[in-house]
Amino acid sequence: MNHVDVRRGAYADSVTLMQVSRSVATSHGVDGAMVAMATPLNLDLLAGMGFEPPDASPNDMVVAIRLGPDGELDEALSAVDAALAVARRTRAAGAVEAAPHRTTATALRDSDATLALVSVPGPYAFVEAMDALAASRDVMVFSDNMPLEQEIRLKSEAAERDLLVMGPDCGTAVVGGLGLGFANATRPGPVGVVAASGTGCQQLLCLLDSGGVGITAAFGVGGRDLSEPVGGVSTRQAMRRLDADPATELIVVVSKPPAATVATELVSYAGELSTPAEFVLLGAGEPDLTAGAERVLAALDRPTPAWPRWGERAASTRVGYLRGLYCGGTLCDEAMLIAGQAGETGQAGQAGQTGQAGQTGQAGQTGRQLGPVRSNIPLSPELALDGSLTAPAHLMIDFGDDALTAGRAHPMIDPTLRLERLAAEAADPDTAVLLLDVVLGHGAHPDPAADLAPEVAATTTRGVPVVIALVGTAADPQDLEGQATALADAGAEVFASNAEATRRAVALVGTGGLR
Amino acid sequence: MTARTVPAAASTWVAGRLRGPRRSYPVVAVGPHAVYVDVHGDCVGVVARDAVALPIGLRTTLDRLPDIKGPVNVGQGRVWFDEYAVAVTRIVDPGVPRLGPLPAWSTPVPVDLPASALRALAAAEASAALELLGRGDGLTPSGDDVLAGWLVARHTTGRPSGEVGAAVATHAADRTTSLSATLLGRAIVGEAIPQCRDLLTALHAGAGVDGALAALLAVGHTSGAALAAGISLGLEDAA
Amino acid sequence: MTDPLHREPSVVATGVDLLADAVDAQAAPVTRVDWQPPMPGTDDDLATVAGDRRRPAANAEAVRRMLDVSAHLVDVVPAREALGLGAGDFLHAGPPITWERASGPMRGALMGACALEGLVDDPERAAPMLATGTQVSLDPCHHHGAVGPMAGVVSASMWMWVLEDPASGRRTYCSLNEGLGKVLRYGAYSPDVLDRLRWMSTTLGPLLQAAVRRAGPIDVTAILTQMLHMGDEAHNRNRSGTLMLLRDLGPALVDAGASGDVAEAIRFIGGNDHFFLNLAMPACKLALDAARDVEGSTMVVAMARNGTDFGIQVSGTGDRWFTGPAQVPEGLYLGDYGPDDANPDIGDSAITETAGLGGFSMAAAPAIVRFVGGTVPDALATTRRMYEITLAESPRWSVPTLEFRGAPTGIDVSLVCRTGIVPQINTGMAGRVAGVGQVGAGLVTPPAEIFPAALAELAASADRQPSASGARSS
Repeated sequence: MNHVDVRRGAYADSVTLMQVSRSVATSHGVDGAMVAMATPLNLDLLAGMGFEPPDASPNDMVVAIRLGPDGELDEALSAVDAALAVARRTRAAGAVEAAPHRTTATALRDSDATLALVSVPGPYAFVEAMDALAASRDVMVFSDNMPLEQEIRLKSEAAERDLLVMGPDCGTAVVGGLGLGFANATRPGPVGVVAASGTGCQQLLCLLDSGGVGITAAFGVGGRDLSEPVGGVSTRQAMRRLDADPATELIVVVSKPPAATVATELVSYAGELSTPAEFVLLGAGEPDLTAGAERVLAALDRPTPAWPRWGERAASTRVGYLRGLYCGGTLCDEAMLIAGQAGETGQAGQAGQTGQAGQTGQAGQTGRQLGPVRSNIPLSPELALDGSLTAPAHLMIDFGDDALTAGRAHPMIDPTLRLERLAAEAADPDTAVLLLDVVLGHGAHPDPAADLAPEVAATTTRGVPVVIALVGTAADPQDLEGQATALADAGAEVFASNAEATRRAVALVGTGGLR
Repeated sequence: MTARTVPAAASTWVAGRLRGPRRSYPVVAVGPHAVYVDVHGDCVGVVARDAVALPIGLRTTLDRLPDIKGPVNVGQGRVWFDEYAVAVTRIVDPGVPRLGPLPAWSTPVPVDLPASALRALAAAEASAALELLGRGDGLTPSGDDVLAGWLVARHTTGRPSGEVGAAVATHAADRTTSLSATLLGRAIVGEAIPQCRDLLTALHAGAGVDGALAALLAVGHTSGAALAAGISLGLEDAA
Repeated sequence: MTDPLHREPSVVATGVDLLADAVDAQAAPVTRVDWQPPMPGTDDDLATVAGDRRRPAANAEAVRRMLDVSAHLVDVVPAREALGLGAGDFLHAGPPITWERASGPMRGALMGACALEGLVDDPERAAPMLATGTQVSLDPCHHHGAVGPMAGVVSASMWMWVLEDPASGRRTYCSLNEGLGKVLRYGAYSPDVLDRLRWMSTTLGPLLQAAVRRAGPIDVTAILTQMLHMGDEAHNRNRSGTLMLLRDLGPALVDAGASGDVAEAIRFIGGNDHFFLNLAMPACKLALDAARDVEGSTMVVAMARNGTDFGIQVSGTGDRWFTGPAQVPEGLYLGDYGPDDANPDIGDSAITETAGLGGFSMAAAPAIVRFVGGTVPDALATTRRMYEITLAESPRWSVPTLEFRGAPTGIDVSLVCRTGIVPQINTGMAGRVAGVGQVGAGLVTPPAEIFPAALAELAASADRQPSASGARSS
């Protein structure tokens, strides 16, 4: 069967069209084909091939196809379009000295990129991210400080197009084994992660990796996704993607506890999926991240390992205050929840009395809490530190908080501020124990132990114990074992589990003299 | 001389072949887009960005490989040649997921192999392996590609490779190129080029089969067609 | 489609280099966007426009309508007939202008036109009449479906090319090009100038009308396609178009009139490389006018200068002009002329750039650097830069030196504000003193501030409504 159509206004040069013709002529179901500009010469050739010459001028493109017995016209025409598109893209790519593109929009035209990664300053991120959605690509928005109404609009657009917005303020994702932002080198495996928290995601991934379990993907959804106004749009899209993936056997959602209405919808949504889902919601009275990881392993019928630790145990407890110096906000939150009471002041022991005594990982398992922990990201407002960020109290500081990163890089990259504070705390006679996180992975400092170990050594030599939560995988570029060894050699007790590290630090605070 | 590190994406299995002391290994194939070496019977290779993504490759973002002048070494987690050291910096999974039962499907493109061998393969008989191993030209003869497609299809539908798999495992090293034998070994555990995975997931989803098949058929000269034929035979209910 | 979770990732990264470096280090392809903050003060409007639900479809529609147009030369008729102009009605290039603000060449052209129409004997005596505005009316060509080069003055007795889009029947118009040197469009009004204009009306116009009617419609859009493959860009370089027009009209011209007249006409046309410009311009306007008034579209549909102001019109903002001071072009001067001799930018010819020709297709006409300055790589780089501020690549007008990539077409106001890249125009330079003529050729851009002004208007009328389903759907 013969097919001839004329595409007015379309143009490609003759060499390109010969390649297109050859490609179509050899495709399935096609006995013969000619795609050419309708010059008199080409029209003659067309007639010679047995096609009816159409009414066309040399400015028009003629597509002539002869189908074989099992040929499908739609398929053949798709082959024509595909071949023309490839030619256009090759043409653009072969351009001499192409200058870089200036917007996400123009960079995505004629590109086979699978996603856009936007990290421009907050006021400009929405425009770039909308470019990605308009070009039918998923987008990760690393930028923070995007206004709420823009986040809502962005995610509304994504929902209409069945695309995923990871963010805003999304620092961690893993797609196709590729770590985006601050992400650890993971291995392929059966778990799909959806995370509203960056370092929370990283802790989970690293513990699972330590337990021999890998992931299909880890989608960050941004810290605000599960809030009431945003309503979990990205979380649902991510869960849907993972549910549709045959290789994902278990979906894990990591977040702070969401708004009540959102939580209800989420649980109901999870019930509609065919893949089982676990929720690791870090909040007052909830299990910690390590407990979450253990639950995931149990759900997969994998044994829970003893979580790795390095270094010699400190000799004795010490009277004074616990001082936590953190890079990861969620890790700091977890430490505060475990160490103090979540949100309630002056009443020691409340957080542990949720009636689930047999479960590991609840705050209170150490037998006591320290009482309120002051912070620059306090669990309740009255626990806030003043501008000096000091107090004669247990305290934990998140050095990744906006106020501390104005005009400087994130502490996972630039350790200066935290190292200075470490030295100050070491010199403070009221400091009982220091608790820090060290987060490895792509995007982070290439050798954190190099800067930290000397300060740790100086601190432990003075008799102040240092406990470190080392979040990383064996495949991370910084060499996990090497980092752990260096820090342990400097006298620190190093734990893969931030929860265990925190409980250890609490246990090292001597009882005498506590208020 | 400090080597220039070239990052690459590869499977856990490939990364495992790079451990141990650094030493020279025989090159089994080299060209502008790929170089393969035989590491104690297991072949691994460094490939350029747009080359076929064999599951045994370290896939770089290079447009093409440099002309390799000296020997190729493997060890200490890298593949080394001239001033380059290729390291695995991202783990990828070339495995086809377990999709469960799939409907029977026949490829429209015939392969130039004895019908008796293909029938035996559909019936999961060991004789098929012996007839097809090493049969055909090139580094991956089409007989091997048909077997590889069959093995991957069996893996994804959750059926054991049985006597065919055993025969392949036993005899491949003697009967075909080491490159092809390595690929067959990977196929037994379900690893294949992405185009095979895409065809099988399309069959599972019941959509996009034509496009996926077209992409597979475009691979190599006859490789794609042979893989498709193998997949088709592997999905038959016969055994 | 391939399994989205497991297909090989490749990234476009906009922002912090460190993140792109990390992707690189993991052996995944990454394209880095050379991002810079947008024009100052535009952040909010850019976000509003980016969120306008109508915008993607509106721009796609505007582009489609523009690219669907084919411009055919169908007739030549006097302006009084084509545009309904009376003896005292004058059209001019650029956005609306008053006599008080008009520059030398514009004033000279208006004075000459008054004399041509018999309102005065001596052009100099037209000045008071034009100043008071009695008996005369001034309006932009653009408001009447017309365009004019340089001063672009159109009066009733001038004959106009008529271009038509066969699919819609819409038409645009442009006068016949007078030639080089001392001509009305540069503000000259000596008796020679007026005599020439009269000859064009009594002899050339009717001859061309007969020829065009005899030859049948000529596809001007197709001539433009071929011009780009012959080293012309249709604004500053039109030689091949002029020659192709003569070839197409030749036989009919011979049959159309007395041999003496025909010879004189051919000599006249052949002696003026720019003759085709007056067809290129209305062909571009015909395409762009089809894209007007698409609500929510941020595409520029006109760029025009009157010698004092530079103005743009945008599809989504109706007839409104956004204006700023016309700049003096930078380039190369003829003879002893220098920068002090040049008038600010003037003419409707920037309609060619608006459509993707002229400065936008400089890469197709590298020889132009001999006239406007710069190097051949600059010419290629200019076209490449224009892709960053346009919505589409022309399927018909392609640039050989860029592997036949389609010319960048459909200027997007928001892309201009985001990148700070302003449209690049190749132009002739008029002498600031009326009647001096062309003093050189060069490169010029619009005043940057008109784009944020247009953006603000687009933002003010943007559709900000959340979708019916809202953020919590699905």
